[in-house]
Order: sequence, then C-alpha cells, then structure tokens
Amino acid sequence: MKKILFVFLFLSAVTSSYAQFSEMINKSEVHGSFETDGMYYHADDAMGITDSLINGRHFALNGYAEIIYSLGNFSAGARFETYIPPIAGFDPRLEGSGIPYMWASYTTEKFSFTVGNFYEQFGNGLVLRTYQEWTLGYDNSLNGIRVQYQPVRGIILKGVYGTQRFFWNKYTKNGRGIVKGFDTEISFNDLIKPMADSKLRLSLGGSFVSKYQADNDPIYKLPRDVGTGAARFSVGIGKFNFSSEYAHKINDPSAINNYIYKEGDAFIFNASYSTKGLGILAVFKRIDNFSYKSDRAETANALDINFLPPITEAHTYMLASMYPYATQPNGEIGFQIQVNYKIPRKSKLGGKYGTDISVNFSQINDIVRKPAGDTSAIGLPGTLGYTSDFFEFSDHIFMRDIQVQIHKKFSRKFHATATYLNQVFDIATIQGHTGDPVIYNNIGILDMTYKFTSRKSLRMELQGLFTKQDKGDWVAALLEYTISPHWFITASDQWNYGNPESDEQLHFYTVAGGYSIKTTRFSITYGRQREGVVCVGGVCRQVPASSGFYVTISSSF
Amino acid sequence: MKNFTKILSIFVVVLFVFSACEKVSPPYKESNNTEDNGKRVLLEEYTGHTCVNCPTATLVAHELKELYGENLILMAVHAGSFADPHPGLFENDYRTEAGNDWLTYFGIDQFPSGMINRIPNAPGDYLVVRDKWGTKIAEELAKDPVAEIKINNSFAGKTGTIEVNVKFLIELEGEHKLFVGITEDSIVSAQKNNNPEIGDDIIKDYVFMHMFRGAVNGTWGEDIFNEAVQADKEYTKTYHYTLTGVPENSHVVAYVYDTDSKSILQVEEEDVK
Repeated sequence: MKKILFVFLFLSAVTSSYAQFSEMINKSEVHGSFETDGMYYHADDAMGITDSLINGRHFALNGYAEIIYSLGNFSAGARFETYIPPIAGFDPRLEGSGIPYMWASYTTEKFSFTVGNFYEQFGNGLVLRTYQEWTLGYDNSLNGIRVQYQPVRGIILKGVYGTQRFFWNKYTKNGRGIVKGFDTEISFNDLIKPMADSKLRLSLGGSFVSKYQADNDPIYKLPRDVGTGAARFSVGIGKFNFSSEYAHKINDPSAINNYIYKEGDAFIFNASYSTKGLGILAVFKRIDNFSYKSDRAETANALDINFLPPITEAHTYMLASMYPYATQPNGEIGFQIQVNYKIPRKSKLGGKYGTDISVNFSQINDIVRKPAGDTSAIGLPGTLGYTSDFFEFSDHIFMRDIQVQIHKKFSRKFHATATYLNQVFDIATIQGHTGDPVIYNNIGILDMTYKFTSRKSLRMELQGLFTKQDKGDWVAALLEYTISPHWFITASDQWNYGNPESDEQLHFYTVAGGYSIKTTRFSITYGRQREGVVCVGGVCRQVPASSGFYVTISSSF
Repeated sequence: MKNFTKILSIFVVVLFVFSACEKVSPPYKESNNTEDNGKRVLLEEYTGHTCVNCPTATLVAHELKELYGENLILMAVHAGSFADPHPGLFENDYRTEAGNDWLTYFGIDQFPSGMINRIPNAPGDYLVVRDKWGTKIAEELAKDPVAEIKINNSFAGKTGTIEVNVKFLIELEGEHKLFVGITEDSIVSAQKNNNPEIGDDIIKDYVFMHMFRGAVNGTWGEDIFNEAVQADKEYTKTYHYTLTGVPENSHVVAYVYDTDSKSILQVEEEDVK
C-alpha cells in the first residue's frame, strides 16, 4: 500500500513538473542572430600587395552569434564572437574567439535590473554612450549593473556601474577605469495629465558620470576620479522642435589631449521645422577637450565612455564617401543646415509625381585657442593647456560639405537622383596624413533606376570626383540588377584615372551577387578594395587596400 | 518610511556625485625622489624615421630618462616598415638583424611601441603604449634586483673588448641567457614628425639617441649556465668586437633574461669610451 502511494505521489510530482515545464517552454521566447564575414586575400602586384605582405594569411573571418531567451519579466542573452584572424583594417587586438557579451535582466513596468554586459546612452551620449558597431569592430559595452526605475509615469531614473570591454582583456586592478553614472529624464507630457494632449511637448534631463582610474604615473599628478555632468532639454511646439544638451568635464589629462589639465565642454543644439513637403534642420555643435575614456593612456578607438555626435551628412555613394569626417574630440565647432523640399505633384516643375530637392551645408572648424597663462605655450603637457572663447571659429576648416540632391520619378518605371557635392577636407588633421594639403573636390553623381517589371529592376550609378590634391580625379560606375525579393547582382568599378603617378591609375572593380530570403542573407563579392576609411557616427577605422573574395552570411530568428 | 527612503536615496546620490570628482591643483607634475636600490629597467622603443608619431614617444622616453637617470636604460630599435630606407632624405638604413627578429617574435605592429623589460601584459602581448611607459617603469623599479651586471670596455678606435660580469643575488629556477648589444647616440639624419612642439613635418637634422646598432652575441644572446642559478654565482664573458659607429657616442647594453618568458631580470649600460 505504501509502495502504491509512493509511486502515485512520484508520478503525480513528475506529471506536475512536466506540465509546469511544458507551460514554461510554451511561454518562453528565443531570439537570435548571426553574421559571418569571410575574406580570402590574394596577391595583386599592381596594388603593391605581394605574397610576402600577405605572409600566408590568406583567410580572415569575423563572425558573431547572439541568442536571447525571455520568459515573462526575465530575459538573458549571450553573444559569441570570433575573429580568426580579423579582416584587414580591424584592430589586431580583436583576434581570438569567446563570449565577450553576456547578461541577464529582470524588467517590470516600473523597474528594470540588468547584470552582465549592457549598452546604455544618456541623452545625446555626450557623457555616456556604450554601443556596438559591427562594421567598425567597435564595442565599448559596460560589464556590471544597470538599474532603471520609473517612480511615476513621466520620470525615468537610471544608474549604471561597471567596467568597459577592451577587446579580450579582462579587467585587472589598476588597469582601466571603473565607470559609474546616473541619469534622470522627465517627460512633462507624461507626468502632468493636462499636458498629455498639449501641442507643447517638453522634456528635461540631467546626467552625471564619473570614472575612477588609479594613478601610478611617475611624472604627472593624475586625477583618479574624473566626473562629467550634462543637462538637456527638448521642446516641441507644433511643427517646430528644439533640443539641446550641454556637458562639462573636470580635469582629465590623457594621451588624447596631451596631458593638459583644462576642463572640457561639449554643446549641441538642434532646431527643426517639419510640415508636408518641407523639412528644415539646423544644428550647432561645439566640442572643447571632450575625449572621455576609461583608460587615460588609450588612443585607439576603444574605451570611450561618451560619444560626440557628428553633424556631417553620412554619404553612401562610393566617391562621395571617399573623405569621411572623423569627430575631433580635442576641439571643433561647426554647424549643419539641411532643407528638404518636395515640389508638388502635377506642378510645372514637380511633374506628374513631384520632385524632391535636398540641400545640405555642413562646416566644421577648429576652435580658437589662446595661452592659459603668461609663460605656458598652448597645449603643453602638465599645464592648463589653453583658454578658448565659446563661439569663436578658427580660420582652420576641418571639413566643409555642400550637397544638392534632386530626386525625380519620371514614370512608373523610371526614377533618377542627381547629386552635386563640393567638399573641403583637411586630410592632414583628420586622417593624420601629416604634410598633405587640404583637399578641395567637386563630385557629380547620377543614380538611375528602371523597373522592367514589379520584381525586376536595373539600377545604374555614374560618379565623378574632381580634385587637384591627394590621388587626383576618379570616375566610378555601378550596375545593379535586382530580382525582388531574393536576388541581386552588382558590378562596379572605380577608376583613379587622374592619379599623378601613372602606374597608380588603377581600376578598383568588384562583382557581387547575393540571395536573401526572409531574414537570411548571403552575398559574395570579388574584386579590389581601395585603401580608405570607414566611418560610422564620426568614429572611423582604416581600411587597407586588398584584393580577393568577400563572403557574408547573416540571419536572425 | 517612504519619505525617509526618498531622503536617503537623494543623500546617496548627492554623496555619489560629490565624491566622484578629483580636481588637481598645480603644480601638476610629481616631485619625485627615486631611491636607487640597484634595480635597472630597459625601455625598448620600436621606431622608424618615417613614423610621424615617434618623435613624441622619444620625447616621453627622454623625460623618463631624466627622471630616473641611470636606473632607466633606453634602446631605440629601428624596425618595421617605418624604418625602411627610401631614396633621398630617408636613405639611411638603421635596421638590424636582431631588431627585425624581435619585431617578428614579439608581434610589434603598432608604432611607436615599447617594451618594458619585455614583461608581458598578457600571454603573447608585450607591447606597452607610450602613455603607460611611466607607470610600468615605476612598477618594475620598485622590485628588488635579482642580479648585478658589471661591464668593462677597452677600445682602441673602433675595435676592442667587452667584458660582462653577471652576479646573481638569489637562487632562480629555469634557464637564463645573457644578451649584449650596442647603442649609439647623436646620429643625425631626417625624421618625420607631427608634433609642432618638436619641429617641422620633416626634421632634416633630427638627432637620434640610444639607437640600437647591433647584437654582440646574437639576437637572443647565449646561455649563462646549464643549471639552475644559485645565489652569489658569477658569470663572466669577454667579447672582441668592432663597432660600426662612433666609439665616443656608443654604449654597451647587457641584460640577463629568463629564456622561457623572455622577461629581463637586470640590465646595465656602459659607455664604450
């Protein structure tokens, strides 16, 4: 009898556990994504790529796989990464494989708690922004604790504490710094009921971030705790929007600023107007000594605690993106004005479908620096460095970019975009080509698409870049045939016909094809990659010249 | 209770804010009084005459040399693509066989880079960025010496003998080697530069100091003992050598290191004349 009772109870327990387990599985969600980028390099004598330069390393691979599990308020995830070895142009310290990103989180309506690796941004990122950019090989995630609390609707409080990722290096005592931060955001339209439907949209925010790093330097007295604070607002009235953020940093002598003890400032102001057929954007930005890293000795693209937003147009056309701008954390002042206008349909100028016109003007100059004292030269290490008037523009232009773009749909089958750019680019300062003159160029681009059927289309780009500096004139052409929604095939060529060195007047041709279905994409490219720079959000990496095959596979579920 | 929690939370936040800032008052430089415990440290700087960032790194090295005097020994190794000779201003070839071998072995691919006593940061990672040289050197100098090295040179013109005596102060496991090399000062030729405080974009009469000119006993030196080292054990080796440079500007640098880890235990420098 006892045995029967025991078996009965045991089976009941197992059945109940199984039922609970099944219910848990049914309520669970699993998401993931992966991407593999592989490269095969071969020698190309015309480009100066020899077998000895490749040195046996014909293959390179960057890959990741991420998985996220969630059940109710609980979620957890991990990302595996491998760089064996990293594709040329990626930091060699990435070489290796492992799980550099792992986290668990509990989230309710008012409260969220995360342990492990996480990304976070306060406001515009001037004092804190951790993020990952796969195309740059950039990841400055925090490893620690993140807490978010919403005491009432309209107020969000956040706190973070941890250390940043630095390739595969584990945190060690007296190594890189510890980061802690606090942010508050108040949305008045959510907080104050009468304002819920108001045409006035108002929010305020404030942040404070501090880093601690030990000082064992024998030459300089270095501050161990460096704090930054920021205040921001956002106001929307009807069709107008205004937002701004100001940040201040106390003394932070570092390798980036040549160990000066000047305090830093960052300021950004946005104004926009948007109505049907017309959009206007104006941005002003000033940066003064605002590099903020959790290791004061680091100079590469790593360990940045904050993010300095760019105000330049992000170009995607081949020749237009030849000279991308990299934000200058030691000092820059600039503005951007952009106007987008749609000439109405069925008007004389607009035609049957209307015509889109976009004009963009961006310019960034150096700030003006004056000696901080009677005896110190500007920027000497171990001094206050300099003083600088807030609104003064130096005559030294880092970058100017004027773009006029017209897009017109001529028929149901054919549309085209014509673009003109005029650029000024201080390559010596921005890319470290010491001694090279400022580049002045004009670029013309014609982008045409013809739809044979609703699924088949052919796109052609014709581009020309004209300059007397650097490598001289270029022309480029691209043909892309798409069979929607799955297939594409592309052929392109960039020809540096104007290079002053006749044996460097090379063609950089590529042929590519790809297939995509739902969230999975496969592509293969063969050809030459010219030396250049890839920038995302003002953060850049060098891309060396290469020749060979490039394969990408990506998917998500 | 709710009010108390709110007040406590605000207090914690305010405390956090005000404890997280350290404002340094001038003077901003340390007043160092370094004691000489006999420990010497080698700073190997990997450089090249077309490396625009290298003059700034060399300035840092010299600043540290001024701070630590004879406790810090500098060796500027010209290797890699930035040391390649080019027709015209940069036609001189300052590369050496040993320098090229070390470049490959230690995976030096960033310029300027340094190694401090060849102590790795992590397995296989020896490079120390310029701005951490001071910290790493201070850490090494704080350690007790495990050996003494004495160098006696006798040169007539460019040819002479180098006598190196190594005396270990403690017992040591493993195998150890002795390396002897030559450095030279005051070599004048062109150098690329991007620091306006130092000079123009191309400094035509740049003065190279502590330039590594070659190994006396091979890239990796030679074994000291075939057995474990005992305290007070001495080892003396004599070399006959012919210099390639100016004897009055040349120095002999000798160091002992652990054969497996490549870490340098003690180093010494002596003028040729």
